Amino acid sequence: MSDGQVVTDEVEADVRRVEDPGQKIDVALVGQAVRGELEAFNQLVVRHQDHLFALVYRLVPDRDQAADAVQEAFLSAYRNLGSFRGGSVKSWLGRIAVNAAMDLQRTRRRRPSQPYPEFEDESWQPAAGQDVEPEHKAIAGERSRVLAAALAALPFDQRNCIVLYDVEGYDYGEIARIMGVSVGTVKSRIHRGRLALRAALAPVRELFRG
Amino acid sequence: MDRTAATHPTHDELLLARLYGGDVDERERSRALDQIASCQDCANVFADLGAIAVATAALPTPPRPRDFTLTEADAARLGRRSIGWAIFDWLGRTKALGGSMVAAGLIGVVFVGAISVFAQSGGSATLDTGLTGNRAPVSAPGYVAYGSASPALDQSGAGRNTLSGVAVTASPSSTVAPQAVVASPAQPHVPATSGDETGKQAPSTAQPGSSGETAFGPSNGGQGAVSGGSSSPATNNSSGGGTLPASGPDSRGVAFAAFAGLLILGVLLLSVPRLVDRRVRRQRG
Repeated sequence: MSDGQVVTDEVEADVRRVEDPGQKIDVALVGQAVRGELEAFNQLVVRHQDHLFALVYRLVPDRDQAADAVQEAFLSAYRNLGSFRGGSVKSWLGRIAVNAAMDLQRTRRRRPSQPYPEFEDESWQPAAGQDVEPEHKAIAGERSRVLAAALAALPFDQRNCIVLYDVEGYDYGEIARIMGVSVGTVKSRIHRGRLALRAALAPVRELFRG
Repeated sequence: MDRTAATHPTHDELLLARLYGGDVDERERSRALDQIASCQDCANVFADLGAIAVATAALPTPPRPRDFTLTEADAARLGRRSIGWAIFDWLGRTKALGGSMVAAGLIGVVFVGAISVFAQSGGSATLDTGLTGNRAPVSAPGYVAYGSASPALDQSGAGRNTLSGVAVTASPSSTVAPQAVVASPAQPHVPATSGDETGKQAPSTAQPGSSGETAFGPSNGGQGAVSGGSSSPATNNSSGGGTLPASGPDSRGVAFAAFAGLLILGVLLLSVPRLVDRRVRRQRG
């Protein structure tokens, strides 16, 4: 029995085990992609590209570079479909994307650029509901801008941990595995990162109160 | 209850952050809650941490700039990689390995190069004995390889003297050479004998400073070795450097080539990921 057949069988067994409908679809698509169906893989891409871009964009505060990292992550996922051993496809893709973002961050550390230039342009900000007053909308926009800038100014180890914990909802152990550090280190980075964020936002603290 | 800011600087804000992150045991939790209850600034810190975490989770993201679906060309390119290419790709992506190899290669090349340069410069050094009269150069960067000494050790003909088991050949000369130039720091005190010591086996038995002979360097009983006359041939083989490793020019050349190869391989490993990325981007358009 070939390796590809083993992987396919494992994935099909996983499809039967999975309860969540969305995850069931993901696992089935992975199974088809392993058999060489590019269309199935592209359906996976469509299902997860927005989420992965949002995740990577918070880690790599540059839209073009974040897009490159996401593309690299999907290429890597396609190359390594055989390494998927069941579980959550979303988490699997997330781990690949975080690794791609971290590779990019290591490169960026040598070539720093202006973080979050897009925050100067508010045209992409999500549309507010019609009942939202203009004043509240302005405050929310300003809050996002200063918070994103403060987040981008954090050391990327701290930023990664905060984003993965607060935004993505990974637990400490999962973050530790993704980043290749101990759970204690992850906790320390998150706690210190939050305090650093608070210190950076001290002049505009009122934006976050009330 | 102290609700002023006076004592807040002594409070542990990291404990509050840990409390927010659920990373405290019972005792720490109790202490943190006491801190929050008794200090308004601590209460503000805790509230701010919560507000910032909520705002972080709600940060908007810009729209996705492009579609990330793979084309048939992408799939074909990724699918047709050979095993060799995959190994090369993997190796190329191990930047840490490449960096280590570059570092090791660089250090090795510099080290071996420095030894070679030092050895060469050491071999051409001269030492003036201070004697007057004709000069008789002793060209001896090393005891063995460059052991031919041409001072007039023996007017009667060629003499072959042994310095602690190391041959020093004296060429025949009828000229008295009251001054010798020893061309090696490794052999700074090869005893040069004056012409009136005709027929004597000079260096190994000559007592420095006796009968008009020249003594230079520390007196070591005329054994002619740098380190008290007990140097073994192995240590003396190093041309021009009694304190250098026992490696000849050949072994240094091999070592240099090996380190240079390591350096080049490391540079290749570091450059491959860039080339691969560039190729991927070019093919992706």
